[in-house]
This record gives sequence, structure tokens and C-alpha cells, in this order.
Amino acid sequence: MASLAECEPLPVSQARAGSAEAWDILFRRYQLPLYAYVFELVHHEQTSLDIVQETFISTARNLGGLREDRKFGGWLFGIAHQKCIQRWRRQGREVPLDDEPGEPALDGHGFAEAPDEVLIREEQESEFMKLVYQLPPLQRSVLLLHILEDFPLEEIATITSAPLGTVKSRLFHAKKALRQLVAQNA
Amino acid sequence: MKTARELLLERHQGAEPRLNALRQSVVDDLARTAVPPRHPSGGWLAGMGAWMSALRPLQRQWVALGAVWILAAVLNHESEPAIPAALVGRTLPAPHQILASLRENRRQLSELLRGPVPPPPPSVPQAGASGRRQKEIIPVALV
Repeated sequence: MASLAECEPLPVSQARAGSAEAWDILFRRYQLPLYAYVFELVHHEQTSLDIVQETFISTARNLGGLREDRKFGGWLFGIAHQKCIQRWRRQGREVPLDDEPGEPALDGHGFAEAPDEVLIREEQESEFMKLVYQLPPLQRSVLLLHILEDFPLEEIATITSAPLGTVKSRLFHAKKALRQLVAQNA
Repeated sequence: MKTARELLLERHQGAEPRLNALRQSVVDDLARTAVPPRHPSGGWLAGMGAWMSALRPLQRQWVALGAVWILAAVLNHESEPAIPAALVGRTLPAPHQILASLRENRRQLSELLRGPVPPPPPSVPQAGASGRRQKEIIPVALV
């Protein structure tokens, strides 16, 4: 399944040419998912807004460095992800690197379903959000990128600057927890 | 029933007005400071384009300048001194021949002005000769 970002033609080349209208379309497209991603990582409204703004400015300044226009979304989230990590470090928080209990079998089993296939009942919503919040930050990050934009695993690995195997492992454990929640309340 | 994406986005929809304001301010800044980015491979093309656009308003002046240049080139070509036909095909004499010829001319000129010039005495180097000659010459010079 193609990622959400790949389904829509985005005016990246027009933005590169300096069109303010193109930038408006790009930012409008990503502002809410990007904010949701950042907020679920830093849990502070003003900090999240600051990071989104910094990400937009950085994107506009460095668009020349983007080689494939279709990867604009992943690139934007990658910048935001790095800014979240910088904030954590500035606040003296250590970024947990080994947050998963073990490597799963890397045959794709367990995370083959698309994020839209997991439906959450109204009574499960708060439980779901609690679960997302309880996940270790880097597992949460991978799950959010999967849910919000349905990025391919390789792209999530690029965004989070993590090896593909690690990303698979993180997503496996996050989705396992999610499935348990859905099964509990079924 | 909602998908996880819908649930997450709904949860943050309250931030949309602030996000809209933030986006607007960034886009406004971009529009104000819009500088067309240079394409890495098209840098020299962009430079040429800038030169052409700078020179285009002066078209008449450039045409006039070109005409003057062509006229000057034609006139310059026509006024070049032609080599005399008598010299064409002749080779220049060797330097020692020119030198001998000059000496001969000088000798003839001297003869005409002063009469015959005796050939210079053979110079035999003698010890102390220069000192004696100086002594002889000095009184003559004073007289």
C-alpha cells in the first residue's frame, strides 16, 4: 500500500521555485499530522507549536537538499523528529535507545496490516491514547509515523535515523500492545 | 469506530487555529524574502540570463557600438602599410655584414670631414704604460 504522502501530488517543485502559494499548500497538508506527532512525543503545547514552526522554517531554507520530491513528507517529519530529540537533550532527558525487549522475527509477520485496518471503538479511545503515551518514546515515534502517514518501514528508518531492523522491532512491539488492547475490549 | 489516525488528528484539532496562524506567518515571511533558489546545474545559465536581462534595455547602444567597431576594423585593415615590392623576396643581410657596412660608412664620413685618418697604431700592452701616458696627457689637458 502506498503511503498517504505518496498518494497526493504535492507542489514541491513550485515551492522550490519560490512560490509562497505552494508552500502554503504543503504546510497546510502537513501541519496537523506533524503537530500531532510532535505533541505525542514532547507532551507540551507551546513546545510543539515552536517545533512545528522551526520545522517549517528549516524546510523552506533547506529544500534544495531534498533529492526526491515524493519524499517531502518523510523529510519534513525527519526534521521535526531531530528537533524533538534536540529538545529532549536540551532538557537533560536521555533518549532511550534500547527500548524494546527483544528483536522479533523479521519476516514482516505482525505488522503487515495497514494502520487504517485497526479500528478503535469510542470506549477504547482513552485507553488507546493512554497506551500510546505509555510506550517508550522511540517505539511511540515509529508507531505514530506508521499511523499518521503510513510511511514505509524504510522511510521510518530514515526519519528516525535508526536501522531498519530496529524500526521493525519497535513497530512490532507497539502494534502487539495495540492489538492486545483491541482484543481486550472486543 | 475510528481509525487510529482519525482519533489522533481529532484529538489535536483544537490546535488548528494556532497552526493556521503559524503557517500564515511563515508563508508571509517566505513571500517577503522570496529569493528564487539557484539550481545547482543551472547556475551559469541563471548568470547568463541575468546578464542578458541587464543588457537588453541597451539594445540600440550595443548595435551602434558594434557598427563603430566594425568600421574601425575595416579602416585599420585598409591603412596598414604595404611592403614595397622591391623588398619582397629579399632576405636581410647577416649582422656581421651590417656591422662592417656601418664601419665603412663611418670611415668614409670621417675621411670626408677631416681628411685621411691614419690607421691606429698597433696596441702593444706594456707594463706601466698607462701610468706614463697619464702623466704626459695631464699638462696638455691643462694647457
